[in-house]
Amino acid sequence: MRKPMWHIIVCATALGAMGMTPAAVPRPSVLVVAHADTPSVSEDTLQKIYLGKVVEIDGKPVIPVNLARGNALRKDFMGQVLAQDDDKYIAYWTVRRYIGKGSPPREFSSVEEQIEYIRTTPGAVGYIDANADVKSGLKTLMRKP
Amino acid sequence: MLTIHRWGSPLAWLVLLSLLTASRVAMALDVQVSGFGTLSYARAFEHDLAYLRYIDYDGTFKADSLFGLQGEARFNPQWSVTVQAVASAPRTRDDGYEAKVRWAFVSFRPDNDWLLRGGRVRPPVFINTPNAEVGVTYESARLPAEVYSLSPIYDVDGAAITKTWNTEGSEINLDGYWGKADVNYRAHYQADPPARYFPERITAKGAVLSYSSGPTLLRGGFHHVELKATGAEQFPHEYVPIAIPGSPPVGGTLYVPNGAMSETGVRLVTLGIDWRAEPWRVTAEYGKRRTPDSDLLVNDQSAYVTVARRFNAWTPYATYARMLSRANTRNIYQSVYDTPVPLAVQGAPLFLPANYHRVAGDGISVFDQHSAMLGALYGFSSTSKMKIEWMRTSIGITSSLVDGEAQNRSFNVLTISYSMAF
Repeated sequence: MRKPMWHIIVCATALGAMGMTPAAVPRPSVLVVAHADTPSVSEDTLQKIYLGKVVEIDGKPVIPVNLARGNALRKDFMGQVLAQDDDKYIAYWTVRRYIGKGSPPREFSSVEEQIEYIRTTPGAVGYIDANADVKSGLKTLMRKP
Repeated sequence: MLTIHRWGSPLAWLVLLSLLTASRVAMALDVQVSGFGTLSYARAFEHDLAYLRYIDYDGTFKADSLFGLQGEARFNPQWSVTVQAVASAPRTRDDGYEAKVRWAFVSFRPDNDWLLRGGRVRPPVFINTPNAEVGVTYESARLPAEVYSLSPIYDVDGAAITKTWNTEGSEINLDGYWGKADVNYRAHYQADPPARYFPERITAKGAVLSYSSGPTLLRGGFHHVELKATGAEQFPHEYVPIAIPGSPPVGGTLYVPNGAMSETGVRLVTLGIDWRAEPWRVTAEYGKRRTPDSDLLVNDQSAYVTVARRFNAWTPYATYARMLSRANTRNIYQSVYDTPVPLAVQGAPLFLPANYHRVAGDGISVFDQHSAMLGALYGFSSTSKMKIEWMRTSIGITSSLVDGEAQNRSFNVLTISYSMAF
């Protein structure tokens, strides 16, 4: 059983030494979830929600939440759903905050805390790993990729 | 010396109280505390002058260094409270430091398209005016004084309203504001230092229309500021030349002030474009000030253009800025400043000092300068940046941004700064 593992390491090292990288590993799926009362949204609207440009849909408030900076799932969400890297997202909110037009989405240090907040807060929107078994009581808005 | 300034507005106290209350029930609220700071060293390679109050041959940390804290409490998606305090060089005197509340406002956002703020707010005069003290939000080591000094950072106690129209691929914003503030206008008399500050009450109102689509932001604004002198000094209206009998140097021309005003108004028109297409960014802004009541006060035009290009963590940039008072103001200054005081009035009964005309000329708000800046930003992250800039400023007939004999002089300024936000 050890031989295949060593084989992978040797291949990866050799490819790395040649300036090449192994075939991309499939990125984990991100599931965008929300409080059960949250209206369904398009991808474009979801992006605007996370940029602070949409705060309500049909009169119902929407409250985006985020995982803490550096979280791998957050990076996947940024790339796959918001189509930008985390650093630019932070830069965007740094400007928006200091021109007095809002503050970035509330951040949670763990997925569990985030899920608990979404479950109990009408309008809350967040995201989880699509493979996580914590979906009960949450409304699925979209799955990426 | 560190001074904590008294808040002038009862509303500001109300806002702080709201924030403190919010922090006590933070479990139910979204309370965020953030901060920003800049440590900046600047040195002018020229003796006997100081640029922007502090930048002289000895070098200074005071010109641009500051530290700010901001607290926001969001009660729900519609209502929030924001307070920002900044410690920096004082605006009301040249010595020491001060900590002052810059912002303290309540925000109400009833839907996606409206934002209303009440309390102490900052007018969005130029593109970077609201975030001028947050160095990580722009490339330059220092925003061009030629343009950004047209509207010093005056936070007003009043209200601001923003209406947004979202269309397919573009966004239009209309910002309107109104407010009052007690400020101190600084005047440096080269012939009679040190600088003096004149207390004024300003009432500012204005509107800014912005259009953004893809990489392009266009904006234009109109602002009106009413100034009311609250101290003993009043605003000069004009200087009248009086012929003193006799041949020079005994006789000649004496300029005397005529028609001082306790109130006046300044109009400011602004235009701007910000084009961001990675890795390039081009920003250009223009401002025109007009004081219809007097040619001795601010009547000038300013503009700058900055071109920046990102190379990974590095972003080199180049800026050119120009500031020029209108010809009539420059001519009056030159006439007053360059005319010798007749000996006949230096004796009894007037006993005017020999530098009377020079002091009078220094009292005129006249600007004639241009600057070229070459600099680079190194970004450790989006919230941690180091900057270095070499600036060459050339003065024409004079500039009220310079302390010291500035006429027809050029000088270089080196600035090294580190900015962060958290």
